[in-house]
Amino acid sequence: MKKFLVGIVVLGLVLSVFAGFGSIAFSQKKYNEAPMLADLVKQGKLPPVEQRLPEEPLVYKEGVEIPVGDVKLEIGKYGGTLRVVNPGTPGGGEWWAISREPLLNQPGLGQPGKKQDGNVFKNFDMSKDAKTFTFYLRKGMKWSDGEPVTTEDVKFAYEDVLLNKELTPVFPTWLANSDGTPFKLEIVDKYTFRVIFKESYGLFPYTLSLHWQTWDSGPLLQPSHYMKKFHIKYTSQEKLQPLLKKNGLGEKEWARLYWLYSWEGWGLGDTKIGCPTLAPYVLVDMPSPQVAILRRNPYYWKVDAAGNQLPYIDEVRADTVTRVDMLPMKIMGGEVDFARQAVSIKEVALYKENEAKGGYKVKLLKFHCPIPITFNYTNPDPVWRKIVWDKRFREALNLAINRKEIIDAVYNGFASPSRITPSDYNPAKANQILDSMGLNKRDSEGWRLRPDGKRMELLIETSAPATDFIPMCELLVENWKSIGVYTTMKYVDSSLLSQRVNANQTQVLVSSWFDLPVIEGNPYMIDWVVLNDVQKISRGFYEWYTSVGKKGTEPPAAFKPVFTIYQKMRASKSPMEIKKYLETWEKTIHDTLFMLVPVEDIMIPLIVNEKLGNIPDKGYQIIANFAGEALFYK
Amino acid sequence: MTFFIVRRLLLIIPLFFILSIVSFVIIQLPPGDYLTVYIEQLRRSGALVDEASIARLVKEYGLDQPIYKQYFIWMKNIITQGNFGRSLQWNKPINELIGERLSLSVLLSVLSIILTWFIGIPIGIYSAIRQYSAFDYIFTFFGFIGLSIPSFLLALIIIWLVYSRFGLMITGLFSQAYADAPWTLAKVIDMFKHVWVPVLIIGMSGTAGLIRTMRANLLDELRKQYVIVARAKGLPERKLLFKYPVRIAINPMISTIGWMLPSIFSGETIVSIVLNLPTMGPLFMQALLAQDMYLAGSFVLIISFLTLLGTLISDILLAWIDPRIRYENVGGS
Repeated sequence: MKKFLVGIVVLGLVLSVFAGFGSIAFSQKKYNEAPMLADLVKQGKLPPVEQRLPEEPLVYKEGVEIPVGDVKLEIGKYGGTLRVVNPGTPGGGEWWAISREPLLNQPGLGQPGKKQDGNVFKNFDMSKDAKTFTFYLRKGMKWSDGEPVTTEDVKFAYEDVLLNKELTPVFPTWLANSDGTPFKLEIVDKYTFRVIFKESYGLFPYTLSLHWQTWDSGPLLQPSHYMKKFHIKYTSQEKLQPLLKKNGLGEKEWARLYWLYSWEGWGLGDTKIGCPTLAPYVLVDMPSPQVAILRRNPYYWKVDAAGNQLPYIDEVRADTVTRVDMLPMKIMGGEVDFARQAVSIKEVALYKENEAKGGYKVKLLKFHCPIPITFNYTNPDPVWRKIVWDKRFREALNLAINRKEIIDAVYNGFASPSRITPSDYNPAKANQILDSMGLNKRDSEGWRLRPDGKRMELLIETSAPATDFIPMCELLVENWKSIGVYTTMKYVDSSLLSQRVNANQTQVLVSSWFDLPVIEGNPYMIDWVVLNDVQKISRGFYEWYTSVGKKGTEPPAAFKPVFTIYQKMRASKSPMEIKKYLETWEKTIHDTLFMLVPVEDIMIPLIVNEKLGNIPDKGYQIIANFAGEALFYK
Repeated sequence: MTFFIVRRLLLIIPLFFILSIVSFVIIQLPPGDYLTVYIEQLRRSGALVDEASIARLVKEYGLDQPIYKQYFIWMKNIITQGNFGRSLQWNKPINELIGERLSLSVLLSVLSIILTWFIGIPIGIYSAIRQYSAFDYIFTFFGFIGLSIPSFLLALIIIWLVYSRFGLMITGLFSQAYADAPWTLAKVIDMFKHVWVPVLIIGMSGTAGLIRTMRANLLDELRKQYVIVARAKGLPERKLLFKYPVRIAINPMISTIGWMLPSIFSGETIVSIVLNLPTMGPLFMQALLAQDMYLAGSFVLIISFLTLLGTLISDILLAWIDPRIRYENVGGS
């Protein structure tokens, strides 16, 4: 037996030596590139692919972006155009998600408890006290115009953008110490820098691995060589003047000019042509304000397992329709190759029926946003507030929600009862609870009365950001009426609704998304979609939270953990600690019924050209979009 | 006549100012502003919208100034440089946005007006002189159908029929191959392959209306005594008809030329949306929905100005064609 083991070790050694020789032998031509780039290299317009890639390009495999098991990644073929269509202005969700390159990354929506992998940055180290973070850039990595990515770009982003009062009027809290002061930046060398906080901030790497963060030239990395041309510190007013005039801006508005020419902010515009990026596609042309043409980034820093430089597809053409209702027609006409954001479960039958005619496939994948029911705990009516603050009341409402009906009627069966909220259905028990908490008196029409003799009313308001909101609200109205609580619903335009929320006039809202799966992958999302969303946490609590307890309404002890656990999580010292706090936070939401989530695991269609390869079969729909650089035409 | 024109021209100036204020105020009326709509949109797509980003957005879009100041800057630029400001939603100068769509919009409207007149006037005349004939009934029947079917519905039905029968997409003005290409002869030909659908649909309801008006007007004229006299004197029927009653019956059309001007600029919004046409109407509607106040304000302003101008033109035309109006006016002043 021992001999056998030795034999294996020897064999292994011999093989690895051979492999070593092999890699030396092949090092001459290690990477392949798209034919259109190879032509440019031949013409001398572009350096060879080995010089364009960083010393250690990111090797795109299963488990890098798409979780292992969700897809069997194939080695793709080069070529083709990906057509995406978006209501309103061009770009939209599809282009946006393909272009996201977070500084760090984790497969899927994230993995709490695990250290982040590199993405734009090669790697990072966190000090034991979680106050100092050392980041390592990829040596030889280049912006899409061929200029190297170095710590000069970090320094510029920090000193001239983040600390510039005109470009950053309010310093972002996620980059600040808890007293509001900015973090400290230390440049070590051309490829290494440190970010130093006053307190422990174990959640910091999570802020950098969230795809939702706008990372194309985000707050820590800007193409300084290009952006200096629009920065008043490096370019004089006289030189900026013609550009200001051309764009119809005033003399003092250099900051607006800067944003216009940078990738900060959203959307595509012709002023952004030429701005260097790290994304797989570069904006090259906008033939009209409705259409954007993006072409492969010749300096993209990812290769597939066989050493082919990504992306596979040559071009992205982002077109628009005037209204979202016109999108199905375009899809069925075969004019769209990839549609994620604006397709809803409601139209799935129509899409399925015309699959062959339109040359596309409908894939049902998981949606990352369940719909929550949120209460305005700081409503000015004291009696109403007292009842809603009582956990028994929310428990009764939750018991009255007929989840099976919602799943069948709203989602055609493609959803499951929630786990973050207990999902038993027991209207009899709900009635009992309401009776026992003193809501047992009823008026002549049979509706429950409040202690002050008025009818206990609930008004659900929604701005219906998607087609499933209104049918869900309608069912909730029926469910809650069935236990004697007089419930009505109202569709309100989104601007009016946000005005009403800010004026603290609402009662119950079913009008936002709760990106629970994203939170479960990356708990930093709590800060975004819960703590910074007035709609979800009530006007008074929001003021209390954002003013650090100086203004607003202080939440009762039962609700406080919703806010304080996040603070502790932020200040934790290891990924494991973060994972632990995340579980406590979820338990708090579950046990306090702070908000009610009727259903989770909603399935949503992803429409793809039938010839597209490397589309995941499982997992979240949006991941298929984030992984856009790996798509190819068979 | 000159005095009449000059006086009307001068009247336009104060009216224009009142209109500009009204347009700006109307745009501000709905709750919230562009930023609330935009922030809502960002939230829906899952973006972080904290205090820091809101503060930046307010500056980025230049919304940190009081309303009256925004109005004065806007007006000043329009008057001194013909610059309508920047669209918030598209992040582009409004002049560019409108310029790009203007030619197609005008082309579409003019083609459908020509179509309307080409079909409507002859049929109207025919229906009047052959009143209660079989063809009159047939035309009347189709005319009423044309009047009562909203054109956007007609558009939807035609799109669906063509798609389900022939698997063709007839929305848009260009095939995908030409959509981004610069203007060439091939692109123009491609456009004419597509343009007939919206022209026909938009023209349809107008035609029906025109037939009815023309028929009624002409019938009124035909009963008048001068027609009888002329006929009694032995004037050939054709010469009689086109020389007198038809000319007078067309009068009301001329007075509506004024209203046509704004609709040439931005007409048939819903049809254009349904057919996904790159014209003015959809741009205007999107601007209103997004509360893109400068773009929407510019539209309201331009349309009101064109209405003023159009009314003036039709007044002048009428005065020129019909001496009765001219003399009355001079006598009155």
